[in-house]
Amino acid sequence: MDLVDRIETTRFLGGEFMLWLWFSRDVLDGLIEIPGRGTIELALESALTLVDPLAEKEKVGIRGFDPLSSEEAEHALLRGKLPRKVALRIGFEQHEWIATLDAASFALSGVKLPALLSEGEEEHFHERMRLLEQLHDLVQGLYRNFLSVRLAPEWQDVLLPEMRRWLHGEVMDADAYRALHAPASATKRRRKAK
Amino acid sequence: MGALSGSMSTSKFYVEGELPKDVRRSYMDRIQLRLFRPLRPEDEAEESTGWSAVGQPFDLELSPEKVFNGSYLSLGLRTDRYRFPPAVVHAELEQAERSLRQKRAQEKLSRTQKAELKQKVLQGMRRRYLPRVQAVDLVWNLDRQEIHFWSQSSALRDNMCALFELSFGLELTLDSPYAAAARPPQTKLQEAALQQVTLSAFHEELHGSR
Repeated sequence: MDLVDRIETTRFLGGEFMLWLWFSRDVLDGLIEIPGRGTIELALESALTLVDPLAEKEKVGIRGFDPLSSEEAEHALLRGKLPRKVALRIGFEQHEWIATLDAASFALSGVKLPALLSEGEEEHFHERMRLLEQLHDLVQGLYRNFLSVRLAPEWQDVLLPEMRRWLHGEVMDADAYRALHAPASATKRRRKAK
Repeated sequence: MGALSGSMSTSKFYVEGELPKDVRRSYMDRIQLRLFRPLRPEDEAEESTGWSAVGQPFDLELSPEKVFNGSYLSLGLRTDRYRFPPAVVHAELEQAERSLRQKRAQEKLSRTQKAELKQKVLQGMRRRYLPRVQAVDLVWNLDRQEIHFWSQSSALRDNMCALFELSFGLELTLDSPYAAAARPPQTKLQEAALQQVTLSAFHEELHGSR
């Protein structure tokens, strides 16, 4: 399979990542650790689009307060749809960003940066770019954290069954979640594989 | 809304390939070669694309100070396009054909006459109307080899990639779950798993599958 095909056939990973974000928020009460960076505060905002990864036209859009807790969202997930667009609020080190993440392209839209402190055109530009890149790095850090389990045997054995139970209202134990996502677990997995 | 102010909606690209040693001089020369050139009504071209200053589509006097800012290279992608509604073109053409038939006392015009007349009519319209100007900012972090482009339109992204590759001789990869998973490179184990990963069924019944 060539690179273009692989890019197209793995777009579902974006939707699974968003579902994992949603699951992680529920398990950890919105405080998620990014290994090597620190802890972020994650809130999922007022807009959500869910799409069937096998039938792109099957789409559900939900707006309003906490759309993730709505019955429509629950029904859509239980029918195999995955989040396509989610509005995120990310807090990190006294800063807060709001943005809508597209699962298929990882594009960020409607990005609202933290308040800028610099004066002067050049400094202002640098600060805007630094904050935009920091937001991308945080999303990338979360994605790496997701992949560390998604691409390991623990996905099928532990996390996927836990996420299925969560869809039926059962929330995973936070300590078990942390142990599964800790960098030490990934190192152990690598050693085992050798 | 662009790189300098306002809220941001961007597409991210990864730049593939090595930068030249003398980035500033080499890239300034390359940018000058692909600088935006305004459309002229007397030309047949209906569209023109090229680089302008970031946030300033009408500033075509690019200097290193305007383009380079620390580790960032910033440009505007400007596209001017004449776009006339087909009904207006049709009406103007009919009127011109009528006048020519009367002037030459011809009942019908030849194919060549019609083609020449159409060019004349379009040229006249290009003189009377201004082209539509579209400008999108682009910021390239040369250290990170990443580009943020202030549009998510696939047509604009394709135009930008084509001009970028012509200008700098480097290829761009649009961000995606796969591209993001590969940067920075994974462990061999993860890389192998990424090649074989398939969609998970979250909605399966807890006991037994559907």
